[in-house]
Amino acid sequence: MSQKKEPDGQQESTRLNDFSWLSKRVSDWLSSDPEMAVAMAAVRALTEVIKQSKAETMMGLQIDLNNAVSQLKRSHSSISLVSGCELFTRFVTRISLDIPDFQQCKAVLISRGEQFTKKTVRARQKIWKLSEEFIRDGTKVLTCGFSRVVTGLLLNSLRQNKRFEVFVTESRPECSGYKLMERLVSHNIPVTVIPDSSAAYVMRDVDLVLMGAEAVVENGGVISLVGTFQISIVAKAFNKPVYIAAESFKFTRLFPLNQKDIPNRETSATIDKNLVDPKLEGLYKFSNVALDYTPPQYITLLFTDIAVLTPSAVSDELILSLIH
Amino acid sequence: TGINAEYGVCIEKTPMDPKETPPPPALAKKDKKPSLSRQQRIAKALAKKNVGGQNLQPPTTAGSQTQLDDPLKRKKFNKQQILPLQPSVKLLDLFSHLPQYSGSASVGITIQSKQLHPDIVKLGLLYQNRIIQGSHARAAAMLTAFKTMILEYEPSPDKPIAKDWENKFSPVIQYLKDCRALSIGMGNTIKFLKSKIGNITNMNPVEAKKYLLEELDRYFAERITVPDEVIAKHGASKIVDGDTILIYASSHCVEIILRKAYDLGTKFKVVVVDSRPKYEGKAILKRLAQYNIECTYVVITAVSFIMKSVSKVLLGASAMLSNGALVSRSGTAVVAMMAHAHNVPVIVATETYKFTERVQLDSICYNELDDPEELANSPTLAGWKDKPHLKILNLAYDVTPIDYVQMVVTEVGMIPPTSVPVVLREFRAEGMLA
Repeated sequence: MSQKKEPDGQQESTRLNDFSWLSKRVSDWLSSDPEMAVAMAAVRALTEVIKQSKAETMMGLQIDLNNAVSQLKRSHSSISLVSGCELFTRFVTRISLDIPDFQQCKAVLISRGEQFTKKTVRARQKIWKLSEEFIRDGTKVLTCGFSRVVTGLLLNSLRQNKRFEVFVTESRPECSGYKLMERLVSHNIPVTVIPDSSAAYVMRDVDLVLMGAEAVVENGGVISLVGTFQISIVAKAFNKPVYIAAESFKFTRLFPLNQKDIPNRETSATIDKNLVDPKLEGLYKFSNVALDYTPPQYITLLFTDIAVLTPSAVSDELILSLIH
Repeated sequence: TGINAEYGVCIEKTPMDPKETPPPPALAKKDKKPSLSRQQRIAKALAKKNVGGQNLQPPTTAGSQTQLDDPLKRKKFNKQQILPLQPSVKLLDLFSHLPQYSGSASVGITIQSKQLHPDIVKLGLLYQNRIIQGSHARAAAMLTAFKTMILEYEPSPDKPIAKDWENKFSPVIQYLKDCRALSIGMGNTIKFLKSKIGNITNMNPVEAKKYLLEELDRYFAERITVPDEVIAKHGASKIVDGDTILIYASSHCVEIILRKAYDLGTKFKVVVVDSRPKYEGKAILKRLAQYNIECTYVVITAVSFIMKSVSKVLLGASAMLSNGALVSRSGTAVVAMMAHAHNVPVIVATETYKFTERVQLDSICYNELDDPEELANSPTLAGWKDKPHLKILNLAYDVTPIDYVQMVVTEVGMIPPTSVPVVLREFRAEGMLA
């Protein structure tokens, strides 16, 4: 690790070393508990940082947190992680202004951080409760990829003895649709897996489109799995409602103007090697972006743990959280 | 020319179309009315005219406009005027409810009876002759003039101090309105000042003066100067390498965003769209070119051609309405709609002091008429006043509906246009709104 000049005499190397364990911890948490949201892992990590921080002042603690956040951003490039970190750092700043005593402040931050992780579990359950009425007997739902919120929502409807049918797109190249199909089949829900290109073909028979999101942006649009935007456009052309289920900690202050404006990442998937002549390797390009941006005019409603919101209400919530 | 003895103003009497309504009565006329209260008189007149369901509220709240085609309202409007209104030449029926262009009153206005501060008189003339243009410049000039006025005015000791200041400011505001209709930003500033004057009832004159000056300084810093920096930062973050930014006419906020983006080292080009009669784009083009920003200049008729090569449109605002619509220099709506047709995002940059609770669906309901002579400077239109069926319309502003605006950059951050009433609501709750 490179040594940086440190104003208060503490070794930079100890500080930087402090946080490499953090990324590993986060990865461990995420792999051990598949239900854990990435943002929740981020907040848990930052709470750990506060617990273990040797800083004596608020300023020192915030420096530690900022270093931890940059470390996490480097290792896990996910928007929901970043938004979770931002949420927590904003919360820390606000509490630090309210409570001047450092030790007391630290204690409050630790306890609230731990509460937050519990809240995020409950957030999903709240979403399921708020959106119960949207799925009725005989509803045909179209969904895209694998989202834990959406899966939970569908299973919740099943528990309420509703009979419905689900169309799942494959969501190539990662094919996360198959994961959802397995979950639904194990609960005996009628599932049809469709190739991504058949969304328009089946749209006439579908009653509503339900998808998850990785982040909800300022104008009420969402950043989510690539393919979401495409399905939303088709749904709009057929006048079918598009519902996005997302927890409120996914709200971020990003404001994309077009697809290139989002912090995207690449999936590990590549082209199916069995179908292509290996001699052609390197002569073509393959687009494997993971996320796309769906503008708010294609979204009917957002199911969040705050309430069922219209896209324009998202900015309302974000402004409220900024001012209060 | 007629000279109004009381005010020493030269009014040019132009030949009028006989079908026109007679010129409004000069202020010198003293109406001997029976001692009915104002409300009773209005009610009486209403009953006589049998006009039903009209909402007769006093029209002179800052920021609202009088509907001048109603003769009753017009009469009240004229009574309150300080500068006598020039008789309107060739009034258009559809636009007769808008305040007419007041024309340049001759030099030598002495408003002694109202005792207006010379800086205020100067300010009014600068507004009237369109020497100071643009919402930012107008608001800044107004605040400076108000501060000078407050500094130099000694309130009389025997009157209650708040009432004294109110009475001092009312003719000032009326005079400024007579010279040129107030912009929304100026209207909000005046509302703020009036609310602060309401707070000084228990102060001694020295304290009150200090308080008012401090509050005006604070308003200017908090609502205009500091937000400008935040807007520049947010706006510049939306400009990336390789962008071609299209701007229309001249806007202070747009200029600071472009300068900031340039300072941050972003490689971008600018297309300046300009239009008759004001050609405001020329001045901003010069300043941007001097700043070493690569610019292209087109007239608004070419905007459909140039839009294909544009990546973002950046517009300024005179006001943002509560239905998310944008009020800006006429021609802005054309540019925004063209951008929408080409899938180019439209970004509006404005401070929040220009947000208003008003809602407007079209550009006709509230607007401002400019000098028709500005448009008549071509040989074909030279004799337009003599031609009986030829009228000229020069509208100053237009309204861009919410569907054509993607994003508003303010000091609160980048918000969708649907959040304008949210910001107003939050500011009101915080007590920041006048």
